[in-house]
Amino acid sequence: MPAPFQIADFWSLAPEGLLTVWGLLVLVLDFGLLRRLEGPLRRNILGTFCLVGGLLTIALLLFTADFAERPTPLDEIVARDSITWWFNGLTALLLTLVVVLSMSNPFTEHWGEYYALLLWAAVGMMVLIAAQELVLLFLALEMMTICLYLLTAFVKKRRRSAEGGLKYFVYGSVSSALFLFGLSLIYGLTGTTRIEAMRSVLMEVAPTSGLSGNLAGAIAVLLMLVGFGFKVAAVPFHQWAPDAYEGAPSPITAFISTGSKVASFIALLRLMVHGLAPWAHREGSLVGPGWVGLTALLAAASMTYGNFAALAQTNLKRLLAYSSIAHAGYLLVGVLAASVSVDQGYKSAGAVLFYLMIYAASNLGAFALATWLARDRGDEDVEGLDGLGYRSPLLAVCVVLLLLSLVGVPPLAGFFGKLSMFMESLNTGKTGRLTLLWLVALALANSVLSAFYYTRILKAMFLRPPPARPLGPPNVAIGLPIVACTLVLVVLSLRPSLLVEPMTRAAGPLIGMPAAEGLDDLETTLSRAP
Amino acid sequence: MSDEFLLSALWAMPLTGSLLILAVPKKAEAAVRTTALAITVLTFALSLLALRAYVTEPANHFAPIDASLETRALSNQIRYDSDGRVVSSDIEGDLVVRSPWIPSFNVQYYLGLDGISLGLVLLTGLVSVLACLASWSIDKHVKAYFSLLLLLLSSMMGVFLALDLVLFYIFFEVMLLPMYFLIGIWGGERREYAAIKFLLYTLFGSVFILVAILIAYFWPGDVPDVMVHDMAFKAHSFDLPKLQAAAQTGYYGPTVQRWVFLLFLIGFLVKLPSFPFHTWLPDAHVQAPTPISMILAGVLLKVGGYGLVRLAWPLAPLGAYDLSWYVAALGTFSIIYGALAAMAQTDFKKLVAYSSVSHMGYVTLGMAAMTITPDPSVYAYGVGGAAFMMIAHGVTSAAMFFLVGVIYERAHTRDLDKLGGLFHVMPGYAAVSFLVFFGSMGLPGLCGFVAEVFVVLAAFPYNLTLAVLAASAVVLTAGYILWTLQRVFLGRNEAWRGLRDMDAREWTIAAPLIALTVLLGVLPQTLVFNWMGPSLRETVAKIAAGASSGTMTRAVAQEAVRTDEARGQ
Repeated sequence: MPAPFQIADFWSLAPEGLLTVWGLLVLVLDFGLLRRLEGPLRRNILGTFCLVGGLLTIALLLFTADFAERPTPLDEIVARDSITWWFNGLTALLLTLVVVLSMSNPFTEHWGEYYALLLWAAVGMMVLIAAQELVLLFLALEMMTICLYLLTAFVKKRRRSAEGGLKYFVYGSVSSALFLFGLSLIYGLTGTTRIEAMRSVLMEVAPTSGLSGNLAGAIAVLLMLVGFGFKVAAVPFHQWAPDAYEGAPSPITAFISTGSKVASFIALLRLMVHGLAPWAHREGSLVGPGWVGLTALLAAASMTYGNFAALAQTNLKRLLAYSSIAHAGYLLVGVLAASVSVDQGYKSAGAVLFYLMIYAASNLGAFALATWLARDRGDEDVEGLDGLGYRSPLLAVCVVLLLLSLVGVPPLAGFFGKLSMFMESLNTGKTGRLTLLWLVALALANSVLSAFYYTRILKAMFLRPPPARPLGPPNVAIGLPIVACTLVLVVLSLRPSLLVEPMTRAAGPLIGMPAAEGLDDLETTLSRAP
Repeated sequence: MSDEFLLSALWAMPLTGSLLILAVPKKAEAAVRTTALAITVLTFALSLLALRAYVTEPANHFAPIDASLETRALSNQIRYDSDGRVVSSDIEGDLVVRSPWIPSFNVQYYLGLDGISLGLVLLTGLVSVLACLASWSIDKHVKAYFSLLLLLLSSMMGVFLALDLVLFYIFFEVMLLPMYFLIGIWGGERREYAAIKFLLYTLFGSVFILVAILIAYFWPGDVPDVMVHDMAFKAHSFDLPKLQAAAQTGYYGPTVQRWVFLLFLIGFLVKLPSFPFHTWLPDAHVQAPTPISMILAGVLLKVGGYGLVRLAWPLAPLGAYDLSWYVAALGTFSIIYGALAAMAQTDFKKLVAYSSVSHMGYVTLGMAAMTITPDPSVYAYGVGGAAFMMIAHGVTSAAMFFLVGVIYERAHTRDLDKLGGLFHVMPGYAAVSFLVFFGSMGLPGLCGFVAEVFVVLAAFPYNLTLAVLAASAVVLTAGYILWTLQRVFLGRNEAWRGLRDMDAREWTIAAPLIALTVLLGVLPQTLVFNWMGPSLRETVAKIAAGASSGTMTRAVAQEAVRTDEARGQ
């Protein structure tokens, strides 16, 4: 009999609670005090208010950094581990930057609704990151995506925006339905909706045999993979992404491609790698009954298709959309490694978490560039960037660093992200090494391919003369996110350990393995020995 | 001066300079140029200090020339106290520096110098100073140009210094970007195409290198209980000397060595470049501005050769031995192909570019002529020739590209059919050109000759056909070089009457290169082999030990199989 809830137990949900209430306050403020104000002023007041909310959330998280004082009954449903803490923090930071970014550009007049939805989408992401229970996970997923559907279609003047929103909505709701069906099957098979309990049930029933002979389980896993595939935009479930990314207002695109993807990947790690680990693969074979083989195909297809499709794009947002599909592919390789590994899974999962952080920072900065284009030219053609390197050298150099980090050129943080993920992939013991080696080789070849389209942006900025309609000077709302993201990247490039180690430690409980010990590498252990 | 400071300053000084230049006001172009020149001169001075610390007694007390890099590296170990803090990691003055950098990936900040890398560090320092002087006439985005030039210098130095594979890879990759922009912004008409081609080729090559590094890192070992440096060896190390030592033990079996070798080979042959990966080179050279061509040919190509000497062969000696015939044949083919292609060019710069392909073929051939039984000393000729070729070619090719630049600046054409008769117009220029081109051709007494002779000498006992082909390619080389000189300088051509001869700045650039072309040809032993020799012998001994231990293991294994079969019968 679990202990009854106490009010104090809900303290762990304080960041989510704060943002929810803040969203309501935004609406009240907008319809009440600011009713008579027009355009930019109203936007800036609301934006600043949201900014305060985001910063308060971050402060609250810092204040509750000692998250594990005492176990509560709530922990079984909403995790309060360090992964939640770090990624709630990331979501709050991303939210703050997206709020800042939104202040650059008058794409709508309904700022109250816009900001409230933005805050609630962030709440959805945070709950999704923490969800330990399938129903809650589904609700969080829906809360996040429904807010994002609406935000995507928010630019009423642009037909593309409505089209993108609709497409996102239709694809998203179908995938949600499939996902829900998968959840119900799993509930039927295991008799529980809690991920931890699910794992122990499966561990008893089928510890090593994978999914062989288990048709219902296979269907359930397939449906869940389809659901996650849509959320993280993996091929072949990616069709919504380019259109939604292109149609949505640029700050929202930034939020979809970073926050929503990051949260979905955390949920994927919790549910598939942790909860359904016994169904991953049959012992001794990677390509066999189990969801791992399927994920390998998704990973290979996503990175290859994403990169090839990006080669042909002339629109910056579409280009970044396809590149983020490719990044989902790389990340799936890491997820695979985490589930295949015998004793080092937490390291692989830690590498995935590290990569997610870096990916989020780089991508947000890149979308800030797209916002700049949208503000001054109305379109997002890469050609619009011509000659930018000579008009705003500082920001252009920042963008160079962000893009190179996305390619994975050393010594930038993106390289260490890829390196740690691929290194851990090869570090997985005999079972999967060969398949993973091929996947890693494919991923590296793909990184080179990606250099081709990222350098098109560099080429436009530095090798071309300015066009007839050049970009105007940047304002703080555009400059700040670019510079902030670049600073984070530069710090992480010089000292990757700052984040690698916390991420590896955070991934320990996620994978269900003790992580505090064994972190020290062999070299250190050896040289510490007398 | 502590060696930690010296080795770090070799790459950090240009990097700091690169940032410093950004702080100089935009209008003060002269100040920008002077700062850049001062930084390159200082860097060159540092590399000379490194030479002094390595060569002269008693300065080299801790790093005498014949103390192998491996021993010196071994004595620098990172030690921790009981709290896990680093206590000591470095022995002063031994030209090896080691400290932890990213412990979670086992990546160290780990630099070291020996004879082979020192030669290239000196070359880099010198060519950078000259390239900086040659850049005086650049007037477009001056600040950005010199900043990128120094960034490039920093990464080139880093590549030659790094002893940690990841650090090596990082410096290797950092080189690409400044080069991309230097070609792409300041290049000729088709600069965008040339720049992206350069970038993609090299990036693709580096993927092969990265995969090879990762395999070397993760390979679980084909032979149980290998002892390296009196410790049980487990993989998961990026420590280059340690991995080289492991490669001698048979820890990496024949199959994996072949893979590792092949991956490294492809990666570095792109950079070298060798047929069939050379097609980026003519484009890059033709489009690049003169100083960048000098650096590209003088230093950047050597990174490929250095990778072969330092990584490909010592990390996979057995794989190299198994594939050596093919590699040697590829090298020979490159020599002949490059020479023939050079002969067919009408663009002066493209001709010099193809001559680089031809000359770099000698590096491949010298490395691949692996006659390790009964006596690896013959092979030492090949490796020595390859290493010397890198320096000699670094000097002559930088000079040749500079000379092409001089005439292009005046005549605004590089078309060999339009040039001609320059001997009478610019006698000083003609004299320098004759000397440098003869040096590149391999005229006895000049630097190219020494390298070619050593390589061909090593090739004879290895394979007669290849040796004869390589030796006879000298005729082709003489053919295109003499024909070029004839087309550019001899005869009469009224069109070029009144062209200025070389001015003082140009003479300053040419003088050291001329001097080295002659001196390296006359005194190779005193100037280079005296201090490079021990390192070369160490490398050769390592490769030979790795290759022969592997062949022995294999023989033993085959013997065992045979006995088993015999028993079965």
